[in-house]
Amino acid sequence: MPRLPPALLRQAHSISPQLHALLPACRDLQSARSELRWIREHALSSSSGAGQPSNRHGNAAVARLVARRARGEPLQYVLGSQPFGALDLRCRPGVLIPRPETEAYVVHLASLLLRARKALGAAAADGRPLRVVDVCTGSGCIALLLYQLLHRGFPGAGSLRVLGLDVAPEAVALARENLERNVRRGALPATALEGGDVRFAQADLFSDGEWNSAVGQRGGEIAGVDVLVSNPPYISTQGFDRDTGRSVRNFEPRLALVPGAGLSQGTACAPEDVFYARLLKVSRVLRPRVMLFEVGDMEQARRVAQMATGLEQSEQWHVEIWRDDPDLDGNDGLREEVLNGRRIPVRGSGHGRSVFVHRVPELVT
Amino acid sequence: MFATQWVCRRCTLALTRSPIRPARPAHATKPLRRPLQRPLQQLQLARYAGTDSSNGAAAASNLPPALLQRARGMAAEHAELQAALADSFDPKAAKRLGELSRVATALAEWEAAQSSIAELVSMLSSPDSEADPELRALAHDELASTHAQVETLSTALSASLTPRDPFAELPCLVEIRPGPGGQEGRYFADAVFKMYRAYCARVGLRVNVVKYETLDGPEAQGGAGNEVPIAEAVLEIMDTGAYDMFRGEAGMHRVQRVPSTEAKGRTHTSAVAVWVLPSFPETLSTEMENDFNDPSSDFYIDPKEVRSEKMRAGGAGGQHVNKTESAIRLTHVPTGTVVSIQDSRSQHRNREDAWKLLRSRVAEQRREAREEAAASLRNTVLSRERITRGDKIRTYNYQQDRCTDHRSGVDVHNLPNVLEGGEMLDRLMASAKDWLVARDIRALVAEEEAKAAEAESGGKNGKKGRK
Ligand SMILES: C[S@@+](CC[C@H](N)C(=O)[O-])C[C@H]1O[C@@H](n2cnc3c(N)ncnc32)[C@H](O)[C@@H]1O
Repeated sequence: MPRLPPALLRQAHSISPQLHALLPACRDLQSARSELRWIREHALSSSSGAGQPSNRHGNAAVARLVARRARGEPLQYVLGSQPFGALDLRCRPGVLIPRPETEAYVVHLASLLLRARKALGAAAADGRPLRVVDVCTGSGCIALLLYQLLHRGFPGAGSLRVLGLDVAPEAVALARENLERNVRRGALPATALEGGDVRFAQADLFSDGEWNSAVGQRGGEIAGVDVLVSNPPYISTQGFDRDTGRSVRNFEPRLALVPGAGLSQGTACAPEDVFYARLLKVSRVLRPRVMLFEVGDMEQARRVAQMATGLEQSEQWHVEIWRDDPDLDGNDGLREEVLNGRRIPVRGSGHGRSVFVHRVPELVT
Repeated sequence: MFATQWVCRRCTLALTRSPIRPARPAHATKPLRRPLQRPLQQLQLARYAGTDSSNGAAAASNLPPALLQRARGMAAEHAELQAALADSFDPKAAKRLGELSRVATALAEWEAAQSSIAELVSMLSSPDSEADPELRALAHDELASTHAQVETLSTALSASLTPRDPFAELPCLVEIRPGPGGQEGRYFADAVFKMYRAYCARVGLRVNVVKYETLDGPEAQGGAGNEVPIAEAVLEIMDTGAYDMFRGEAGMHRVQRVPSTEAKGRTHTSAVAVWVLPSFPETLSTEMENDFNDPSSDFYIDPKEVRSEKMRAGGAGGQHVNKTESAIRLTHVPTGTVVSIQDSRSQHRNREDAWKLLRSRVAEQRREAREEAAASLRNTVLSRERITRGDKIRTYNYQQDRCTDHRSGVDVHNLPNVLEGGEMLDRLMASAKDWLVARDIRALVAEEEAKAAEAESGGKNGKKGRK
């Protein structure tokens, strides 16, 4: 990483020594200032409750947090939380921090699903809920935000069911904590918890037995799903060394970022793409009508879109590539890809970020 | 240097405090010597100061007849509607009734006071009272306090006739920006921001810092604590009616002090612009919700006319980085209004705040344009006394430890208390609000007088003149 210009460091120091300390981790003055403010606000709010905190006490708390951040620890771990949509999620080492790009496509997906509510809810008339599975759920962010955004369109306990799966016990525990926390704060309706509308389970996507029993728990046999979403590990080994931020590399779990080396043995795809191959394979059993997978860049988006065009009864499936902000107009290049002789729309602005696959005519825009 | 020319207005306003506040006890014991028509006469004096002082003195009753006539007309309509509504309900009529009831109530109270005056006067002039000195003294006292009451009631009645600000009931956004010039204004902008935030904390108003954009520069010891140079700050005051409470704060706030960076100890003068925008409340009533989606509403924005852009993480984004900032910029293309927000850790919140600020700015622009258009049609008092973005409304003088409101002429000492959002700021804000009410009444009187004159000349041309 490039070194910071000495003049910038001097300037930060003249403003405040704490700003100076944060600068290497934050890289620019504006973000260092914002982070210092958030750290101060956090220290203030967590010490309040026991009356007015003593100034010295508060200052010591700020100094401790600044020191951790200055060592490169992600702010979200230092403060223990990250806002995600209207939710507030707990974060801690061992589980990936939710990203703003993820928030953006989840919000967009939810608005599309709500618009096509009638078509999707047709099944609900015969008493069957809309079922969503979030594989590789981590903090539970996608599962929880989808529930929050969709429950108004599918009201009443039992008409929307969301299941989050992860192989890491730390992740499952944190996701459950986040569910309870947001119900308690009123950000999620009580049905999410009491009605059992949102559940989290530990399961390895690559173990047929494990995900089968997790998904099938409710009905006995494999129940199938309507919506399958996933933000799986998608970074290559070289990419991990070369393209990730230092605080990502040094502090976030590698299991969440890079697919395990053994997984791609015996497959034809690139090691960083194995989760997509597996998800598409599993989809033959789960029979979702809608799928959305996060990807690392436009290259990977193309490869995944290409895999999706190879689904059985491929003429039923619509495949799209979404950029970082699928709902914003941008001029970031191509608006369409042609893969396997199929036209694949590329929507929004920013980097290639996700692949959207569905067979619901009402979702075609 | 600026104080002298305002002296007469200052004492004037002291006499025309808004009627909501309890009358000062001094009033009740004041002897009869005070002229009946004080409040409005004084308001008019302020208006005509140096131009036409005869006008105020000529007023014989304590309400200009034009206003009284208008109030009576509205009260009559109120009574009619009330009777009609007793028979059958009509939502439109009910709404109108609500609008009129303010005037009807104020008029009833004013008339009740008038008739007790008449009663007391006749009592004093009757031969009976001549014989009973005790009763006479009692009636005198009673008369004095009723006169005092009438003053307050006249102002209340006049104020009830002025058009209600369409945004009055809304929460508001207070925007603070340094005026043109150097670093000093940027530091003082921070002082002004902190002043309002502290004020809200003291009086129990809920606030949300929508934007607090700092510039590079060391923290300085200012009047109300450590000041940081800021480019722009926006404070949302979320309680209903906040717009009405703060609208008097809009304008240029001037500071005179020796900056902490000034080696030679020279006093600098700089300015901070404060703008008060109406804001949409978080929980919308259905009426408001409709307003939101009504293309003719000031707050309506066609999403297709807004361009939004996001600041993106460098590099690949996604799992590769864990940036903490999420800046968003919105541009309302037809008006060229640009808003950018990055204050919260929450992307969602930044987006909502950006939309809120954009809506408020566009609504305020539309209102300004409307007022501009109205002002160019008639040269009313209102248009001459409008506060525009460049008008200096208040001076904070550190050396003299005082703060002066240039509209009301009210001058308070104890500047630290002002900057801490203390009771002294209350006084200044109240005086500015009183000034605004008085200005609206002057405008109304002028308008009614013009209408009456027009009717008169029209009458002359038509039938035979009445005189
Ligand atoms: C990139 S993180 C995504 C977390 C979360 N969904 C988000 O968007 O922030 C990937 C997650 O996949 C989980 N994971 C890794 N291998 C897995 C496997 N074989 N089966 C299920 N989950 C796995 C990791 O524990 C990690 O929580």
